[in-house]
Amino acid sequence: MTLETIIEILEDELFLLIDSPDHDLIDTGELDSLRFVELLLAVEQRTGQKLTVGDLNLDDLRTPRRMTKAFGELLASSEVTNG
Amino acid sequence: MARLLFDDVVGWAKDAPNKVAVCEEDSTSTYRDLHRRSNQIARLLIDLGVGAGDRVAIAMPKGAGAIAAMLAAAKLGAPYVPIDPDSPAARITRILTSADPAVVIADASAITTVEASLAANPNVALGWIEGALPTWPVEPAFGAAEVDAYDGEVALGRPDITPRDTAHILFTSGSTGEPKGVIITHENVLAYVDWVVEHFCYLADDHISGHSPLHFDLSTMDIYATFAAGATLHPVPKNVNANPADLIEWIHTNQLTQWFSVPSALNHLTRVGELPQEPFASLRRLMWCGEVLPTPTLIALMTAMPHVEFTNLYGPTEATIASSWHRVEHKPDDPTASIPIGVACAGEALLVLRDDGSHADPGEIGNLYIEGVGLSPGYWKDPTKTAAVFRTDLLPNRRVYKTGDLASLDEHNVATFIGREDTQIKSRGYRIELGEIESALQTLDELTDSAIVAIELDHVDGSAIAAAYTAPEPIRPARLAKALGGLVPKYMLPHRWIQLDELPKNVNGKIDRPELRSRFLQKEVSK
Repeated sequence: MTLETIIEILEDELFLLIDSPDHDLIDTGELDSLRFVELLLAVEQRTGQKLTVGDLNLDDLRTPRRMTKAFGELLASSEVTNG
Repeated sequence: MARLLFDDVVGWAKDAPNKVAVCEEDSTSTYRDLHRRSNQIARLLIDLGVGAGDRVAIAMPKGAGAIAAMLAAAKLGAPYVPIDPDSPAARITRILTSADPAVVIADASAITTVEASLAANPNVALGWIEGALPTWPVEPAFGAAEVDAYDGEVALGRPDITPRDTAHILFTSGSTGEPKGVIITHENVLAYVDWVVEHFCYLADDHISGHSPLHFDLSTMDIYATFAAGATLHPVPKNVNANPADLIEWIHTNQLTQWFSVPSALNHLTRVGELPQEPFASLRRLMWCGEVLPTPTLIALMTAMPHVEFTNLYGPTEATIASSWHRVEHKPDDPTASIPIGVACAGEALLVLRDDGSHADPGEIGNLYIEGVGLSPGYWKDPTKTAAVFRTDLLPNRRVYKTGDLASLDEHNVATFIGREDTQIKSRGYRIELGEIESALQTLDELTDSAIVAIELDHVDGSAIAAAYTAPEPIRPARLAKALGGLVPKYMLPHRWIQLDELPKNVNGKIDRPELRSRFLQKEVSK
């Protein structure tokens, strides 16, 4: 999952215009519970992988750059469902 | 002798019989015409056995014919029930079943819907007062020819009723989908009308717009304030209303002096890019009620019409037309500024109360209640609903109506509308007022119209914020979210966006929010 893909999801599916890879989505309140769920669904849909988010820290999703890293690590350890 | 709704017309028919009361595209009716026509109709209603307390439904568009029918019912002390001829048959049937009228007075505009409704309500007679009789399975009790031919004594006795008796029942949308009838008395209307005439200096040479349909409470101000002043009412033709350029031309040609409508009609005028500078030389005052007028629209109107007085009126049907007013003295500098709903009209009071019934402090948001002469006796045949909102238990010896609106009062008792109690949602602990987002969205120049609704989604708790908009060009939602993010906190940014050719509107010209919500939900299903 690249940074570009994360920004594409945030802009096209969550309707958030991202200023920079370090745009803080938590402090601004932009990443609310609904968007959090939809972000996970969008990542799962694009990768075909089921995410296990139990260990995910909200701080890991603070910015698009951190999301890229967190999802990259999560996807590497998650089971492949459609692959 | 206590004044009733029809007395002003009777008075002018005597004092200024040839004065035009209603001016339509192809005809005019004087005060004498209205008085005589309404007596003729009343005579036929008497022949049908209609008397004080019986309901008379009227399914006709606004015009001299429908107004004569309203006056005829009033002259018999029979409450009239205006029915939108464009409503679906199922809705008309429900209203007729609830109102249980003795007769429905209809014309060709209601032919299909009323026919179906009468089949479901076989005890209701049909009266036909304009044009040729249709071939219907329902035999009309009287037709236009009989009204015209009625040449006998048309003078009527006074009905045995008081100003506190019901003048009309207005059926509005209920939250459950079942229309609810708001009972309005002669006194309710006349107290407000008298204030309007005095406060806004309505004069006999005024030419007054009739924009709202008859089943909408604003129309009672148009009609009865015009008649109280002995002025001329100009019902806005349906075909003119649909096209902003035609509407501008029509207002100009008819030399209207007072305009009163819902804000969407004014939005309509300013969003075509055709509003010329000082387009209406005769216009003295422009008033709106029923919804929030977007401040950018107000600025555009005030820029184009510096000679006109602009007044915001506020009030629910349950308090008869309007309960408060605010004259906008100066053009706002800030397009995001909210326009106050102002101070109470004469005989009314606005109260902002906390949940426990105590008065909110200045600036504190609370529930808006109304008290005073405009308060309806309650809902037709619904004591439970009446007791729930017309409260006598909240303040000692006082009856107040709970509007369901949130507001604040400043230290001078000037009220500002914050939003609907039921449009306030909570998201992640934030209390979000959808009206605030909507007002901000309406300031974006690239949009022609916009609205915000809350929708419930299966996969999350709480509500999602959904924005609908119209624009001349396709616009990417993320770009609008970015612009909106400069006006409201980020937690208020919509979760769903939809660009439409036109926002759905209900019969009163207000945004049809239930329909808008269902469009968003349909889109979710099709994902």
